[in-house]
Amino acid sequence: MTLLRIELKKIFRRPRTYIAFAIVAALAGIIQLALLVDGQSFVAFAMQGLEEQFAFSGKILNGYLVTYIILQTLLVNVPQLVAIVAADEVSGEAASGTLRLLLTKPISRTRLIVTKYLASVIYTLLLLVWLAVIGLGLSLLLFGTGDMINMRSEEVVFLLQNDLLWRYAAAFGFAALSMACIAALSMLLSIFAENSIGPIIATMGIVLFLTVISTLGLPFFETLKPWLFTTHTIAWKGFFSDPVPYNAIFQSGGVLLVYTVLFLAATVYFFRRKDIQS
Amino acid sequence: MKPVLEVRHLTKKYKTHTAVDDLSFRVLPGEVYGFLGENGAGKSTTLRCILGLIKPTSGQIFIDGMPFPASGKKLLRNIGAVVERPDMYGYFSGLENVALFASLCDKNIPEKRLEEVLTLVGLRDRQHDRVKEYSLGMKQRLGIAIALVHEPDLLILDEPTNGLDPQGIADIRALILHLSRDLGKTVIVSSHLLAEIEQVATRLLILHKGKKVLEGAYEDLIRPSETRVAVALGAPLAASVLEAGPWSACLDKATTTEELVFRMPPEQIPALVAFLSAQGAAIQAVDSRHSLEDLFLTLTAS
Repeated sequence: MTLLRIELKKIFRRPRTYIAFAIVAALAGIIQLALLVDGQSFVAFAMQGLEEQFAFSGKILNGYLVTYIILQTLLVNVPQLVAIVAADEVSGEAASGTLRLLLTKPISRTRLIVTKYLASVIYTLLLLVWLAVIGLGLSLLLFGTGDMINMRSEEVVFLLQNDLLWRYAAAFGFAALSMACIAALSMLLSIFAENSIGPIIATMGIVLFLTVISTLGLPFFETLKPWLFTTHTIAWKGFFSDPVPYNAIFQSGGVLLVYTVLFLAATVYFFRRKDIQS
Repeated sequence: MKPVLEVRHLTKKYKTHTAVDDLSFRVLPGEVYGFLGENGAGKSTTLRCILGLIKPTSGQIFIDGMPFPASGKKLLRNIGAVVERPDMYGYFSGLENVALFASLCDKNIPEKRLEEVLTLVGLRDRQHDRVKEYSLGMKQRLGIAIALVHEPDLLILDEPTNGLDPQGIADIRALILHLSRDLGKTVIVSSHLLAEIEQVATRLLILHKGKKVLEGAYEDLIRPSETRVAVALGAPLAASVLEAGPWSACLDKATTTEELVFRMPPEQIPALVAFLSAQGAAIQAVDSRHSLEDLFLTLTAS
């Protein structure tokens, strides 16, 4: 517990930790502002054709829809923000020279690295709570509540407003798993570097590269897709389908969990064998 | 006496070179053990192996008679270390840094011990300042405070005076002597400067290219009768004067026409100078250095 408290203190005393919080607030804020100013024409554009077939009552552009738009935009990028802290966990201390002092203390390397990972995960969760507060809380405050129309490429899903909050809770929970997975990847890369920029860029590069492969519709990639963790990080969207495709979501969650455990095991393995030269 | 630390046949190889080559030594309780060698001699690598930062290629390390790291990292509870540059968390205060590392020592350390140790290293007045604002000397002293806070029996100080000004060097030296003489700590201190080590070490080891060159008690190593005395001459002296004279037995083969080199006890220097002057030698300078310094300089020059 002492060690975890120390690691958290280290994370939250650094200014860079708050960069991710600022980015989330800025991006969510800008989407909210844009929709507040010119939301009606966006809705009119999106609803083209639909209004001829259905009769709508109530507020279409409500807080729930705005949150969904924000999440769709941000949840692709937010996992990468985790790298700012997680990728710095070992390499940052190697760069500043504190790693060697830390390791001359009677703590096992496994305990230290696992604690560092836990601290990164806690940071991740706080970032998600922040996203929930800014994204969902503020959107509901600004745009009010209402039923949600989720327009997907192949279907339109109508979700009643009293059926929505749990979906958001589940989506945030799933996003936490995705981010924990990317945090584990960042930590692994962090072991091999003695500056924090390298692993941050490497994490973002890998995630970006794999996301492109996951989203491209080329047949060559189709066999690869199910094995990439980036294919599964967006499975939170399933919670906004009706009925919810639980099987697919659990499968994606399972894949992410396996990746997380593998990344973490590799991190412990390499960290235990690392010669501290910094 | 049971050694506090014993290193047996330690070797550390990297792809292209051997940093430490079959090194063995023991450190006894209460000693100030000087670890001397030029930069790159393998001092830091050895000390990092002892602290578990680097895995040796072969060899064994025993801390308090127990094999390390096989017996677990808990053996480090009785060791305090400063390894090369003193790096701490710059955005924490001196006191916070000491508290942070103290809490990792697996010992119950009372609050007042933190201030006590900061007073000992002379940082009490600046303990609430962020370490970012500390000078190198202050950081070095803070590093020693962190190494001391859990009252370890063995202190490992790797180049603790590197980059310090003369006052800083004198402060650290005084602190090491205080720790050893008054508090009974065992200290291993490394340096690439003999002058720094010889004033504090009771025993020392010279490391050169990863190998042990010399080890022993300081008094045994300096051999005063073999002090190197160099006499610089303004004009060459007739060879016969030296070869026939009373000092011929002391003449070193390094002698040239411009510089006469002798191996002799330093107290005989006035007699030598008197003799040479009487023979008409144009003496420009006389320089003496003891055998250990001479050996070390020869090693590092190569």
